[in-house]
Amino acid sequence: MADTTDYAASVEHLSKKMHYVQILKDVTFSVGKGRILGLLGPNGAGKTTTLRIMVHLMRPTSGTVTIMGEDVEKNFTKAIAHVGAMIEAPEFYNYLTGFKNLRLLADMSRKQISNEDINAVLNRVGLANHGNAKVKTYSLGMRQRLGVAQAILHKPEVLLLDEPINGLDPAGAHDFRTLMSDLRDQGTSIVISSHILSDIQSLADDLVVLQHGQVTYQGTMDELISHGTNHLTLITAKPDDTVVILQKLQMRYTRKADTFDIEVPAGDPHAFQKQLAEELFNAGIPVTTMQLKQASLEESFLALTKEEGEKANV
Amino acid sequence: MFNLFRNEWRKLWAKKSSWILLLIAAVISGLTAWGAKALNTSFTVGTNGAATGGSTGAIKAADAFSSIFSSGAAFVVIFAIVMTAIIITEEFAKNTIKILLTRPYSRHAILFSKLLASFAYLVVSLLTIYVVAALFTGAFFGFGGLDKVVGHGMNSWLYGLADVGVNVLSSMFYLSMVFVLAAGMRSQGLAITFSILMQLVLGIFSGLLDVLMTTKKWYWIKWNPFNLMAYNPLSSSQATGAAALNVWGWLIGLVIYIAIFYLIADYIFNRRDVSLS
Ligand SMILES: Nc1ncnc2c1ncn2[C@@H]1O[C@H](COP(=O)(O)OP(=O)(O)O)[C@@H](O)[C@H]1O
Ligand SMILES: [Mg+2]
Repeated sequence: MADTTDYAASVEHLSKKMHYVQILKDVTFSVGKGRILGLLGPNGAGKTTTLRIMVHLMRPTSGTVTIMGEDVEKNFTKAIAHVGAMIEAPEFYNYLTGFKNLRLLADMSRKQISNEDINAVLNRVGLANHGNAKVKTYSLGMRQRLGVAQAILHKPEVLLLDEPINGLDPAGAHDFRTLMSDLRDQGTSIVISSHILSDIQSLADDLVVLQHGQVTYQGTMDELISHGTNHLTLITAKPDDTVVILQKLQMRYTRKADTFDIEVPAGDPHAFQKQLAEELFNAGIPVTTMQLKQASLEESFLALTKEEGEKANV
Repeated sequence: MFNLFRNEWRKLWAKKSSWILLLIAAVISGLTAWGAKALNTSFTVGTNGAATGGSTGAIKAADAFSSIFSSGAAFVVIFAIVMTAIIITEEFAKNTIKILLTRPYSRHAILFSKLLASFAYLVVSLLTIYVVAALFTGAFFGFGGLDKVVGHGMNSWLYGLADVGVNVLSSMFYLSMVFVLAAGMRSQGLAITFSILMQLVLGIFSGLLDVLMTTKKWYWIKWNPFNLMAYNPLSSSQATGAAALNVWGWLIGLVIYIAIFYLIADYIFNRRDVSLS
């Protein structure tokens, strides 16, 4: 593993036991500088627990968290100064206005944050007209926006956002994605957790999949796509002869009249396509249609997480 | 650190309860004044309740001032306990603790700023009641009597301030115990209830220790925290002989106990996992 200072944040061998239940088990991943990492996993997988430990709201049973080269446990105040975080639903002082909530938090920053800065941030998250309303009057979406505002208020190098798209309407989700890619372009390193792949697939550069407290997949978004099962649609002039060939090749397939749907085995799907075409040609079977259907990201993900989930359950 | 304290102070006074409780204490002082006046007409000298400065009137005004202040102060102490339990547990109950603890300050600093805010609320409230009691005394019995010496060579004004001081110290000790309770609790209601009940239980406990001390002649028991809390250096009806405490012993003892309880609270607060949503 590379030196942790190469990364904006690193989580190493994190384990957490609570009430004799193993919530996290040897979780390790790193957040590249200026990249967005999607932390993906079903409900109860341990995403929130991981993020809580990353900001030291919780102590790990074992393992370490490093942020911008500082150990979170040993050097908390230094490490956390680099972080903006929103863990689960954001909570604020309901009896104060949105602006005053941000003012309080700004006064706890290491940086000088003026009232104009606060207004600029409110504007950036689309709350420009609501800064002077008490938070108790806010809708869920507005709270979520204020949650993002408090996280980016002090222009942190590392952003940790837990299910930030929850509670946002489509327009809000769009604004959020725009804001995140802007921040990434400015060099911010971001972790976004979600239980819905499509929420982060257009945004994330890297992906960490968490299931039952364990990392079951880790890689770039592009690598994930190659993980799914691809399918080949085949139509030939001699379907019955085709069956013989497919059985000889030990293929898994389904047949509907003349149309075969073949599961492409792991490996290069194009090489497989070529091999099958040769077999059919040698057997003298004319091919009408042969079409490779690459798995969608969602399918790849489902296939992957199902497979790994089964492994983890054993 | 000052920023943290200022934030706590702002949050405290942004809550309506802080004002309402203080107002209730003031109203109770007012009711005491009115009651003293109505029930005991001999309190009054002259017409319209204005004391004329005659010697009996002077003593009555001083007595009235003392009891008006005491009644309000008793409530202020309870309310300071309530507000202290609130400023810690509300952060956990409403989950605002997340945004508070993910700032570049240690948990030690965060808790200490709350301790300062709690003590400051106590001091400000007691001083407010002191002023309110003086005003009510003036309105019902006249200010004239407050200049006379009432005890320990002090006139009513000074004696009242000394009384504020004694109340502040023994209540600070109590508040440090509330910190221990609140630092580990999640439920606001429970923390408040326990904190107030503690007052009752401590009274009984303190009485039992007292019996033990006198029957067994274990005079070191006088240093138990509850005895220190009950001690009032202004009062003349205190234990004598080997069981007696003096001002300095009382002062230093209380400060040590406050520090011990606060350190326990700090330890609990630091160890605490902030989980559950
Ligand atoms: N305070 C806690 N005590 C015991 N178990 C907990 C606690 N908090 C979370 N868990 C358990 O830990 C697991 C992971 O939870 P969490 O990190 O919230 O998952 P996610 O955010 O991925 O939905 C869940 O099974 C949850 O029930
Ligand atoms: Mg979660």
